[in-house]
Amino acid sequence: MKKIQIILFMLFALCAFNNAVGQATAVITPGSFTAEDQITIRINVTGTSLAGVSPVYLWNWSNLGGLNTNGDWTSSNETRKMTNVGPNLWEFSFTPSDFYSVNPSELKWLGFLAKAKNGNNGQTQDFAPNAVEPLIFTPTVNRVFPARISVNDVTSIFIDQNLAPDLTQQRMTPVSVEIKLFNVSSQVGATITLPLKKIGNKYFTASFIPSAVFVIPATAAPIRFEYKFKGTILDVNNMSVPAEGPVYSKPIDPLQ
Amino acid sequence: MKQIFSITLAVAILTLVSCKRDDFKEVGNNADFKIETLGGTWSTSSVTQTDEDAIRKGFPFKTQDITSDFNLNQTKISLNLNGTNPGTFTIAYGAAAKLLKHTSGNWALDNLQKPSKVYLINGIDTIKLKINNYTDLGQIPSRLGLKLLKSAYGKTQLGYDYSLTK
Repeated sequence: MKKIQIILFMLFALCAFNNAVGQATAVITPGSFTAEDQITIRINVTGTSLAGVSPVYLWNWSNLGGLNTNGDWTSSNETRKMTNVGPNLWEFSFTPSDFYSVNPSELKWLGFLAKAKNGNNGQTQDFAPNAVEPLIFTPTVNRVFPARISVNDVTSIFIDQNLAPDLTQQRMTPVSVEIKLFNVSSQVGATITLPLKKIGNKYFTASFIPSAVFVIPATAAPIRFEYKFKGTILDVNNMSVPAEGPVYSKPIDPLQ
Repeated sequence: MKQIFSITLAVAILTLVSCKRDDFKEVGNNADFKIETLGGTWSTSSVTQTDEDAIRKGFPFKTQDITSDFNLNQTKISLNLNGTNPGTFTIAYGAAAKLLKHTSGNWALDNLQKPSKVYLINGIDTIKLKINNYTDLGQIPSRLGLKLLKSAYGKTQLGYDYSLTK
């Protein structure tokens, strides 16, 4: 009975410890990237066993396995030292194919964590897998041109129904696209609806400049927009009824 | 006789050694540029948006003409000269989208003899426009190609190619 009590106490203590040590958060910019794009990993270690630790090191792996250049778990390579950019906030930038010294087409996903030089003195949880976009162009029903845009740039949204994977988007007569702008936590400005222009067989587009169509407060920093195509579709009685496709998301980039 | 032969041989060698193709004079942009030809009001014929990322990766959908959707042919750029130096500029947009952001200020060149960039300066904010070509500056009408490039993540990501006439 006493043993059971001890085990229960230990389990309770373990749970309590796990709750006390929070989870780190990590952001990769740009939000989508190929193996040949430079990326920046920013990790916030507030509330974790790494809080207050300095310096902090990045530990990497990928679908191809571990990385020898990380160093030892108890003694990270100095080249993996992250840059402090705020209280408990650490950054590291690299181009995956160069950093991993592999053929770009081989990288499918990246994994990483932050750690003290001696990993036994503190680490974050694993951040994996983080998808690496293929280096070949993959046609999809939805497309945004160009690939990277800021709020001040001409942005064109396309729907190519010939590539639609679902019946609604295949059969729908697209009429408009509904767009919402977001910062980290909430929507910025009102939802807008733009008419779609037919430019080919089952091929439609709408263009806009985010800063011209949304009221963006000076303090807001939009990071993405969401859009969905709306139109009409014939029901079983051959009546035209409203229809809409899924919601797609597109990151907004800090272009200068 | 021997002396004549030696002299002849020396002259022949000197002639051969000194025979060298003249350097070509610089042509095109470098040779033809005169700042006076840049001054004046430039009308926009077309604006093409380029996806520099797609160009780099060899993806399809590299360019798109955005002139009519945003009335960009109403954009007029006036480059005023201060003697033989760049002076002030104004941009009249009409109903066009304000892609170049500024409406007035001073302009400058990165090099007065062989420019490759035009700077549109407004206070501490400068727009850098790459000169695509100015070989047709002396033609009637004059033609000028300027490109606004935007970067992020250590690479150019998109561009706007302005075709201008005067």
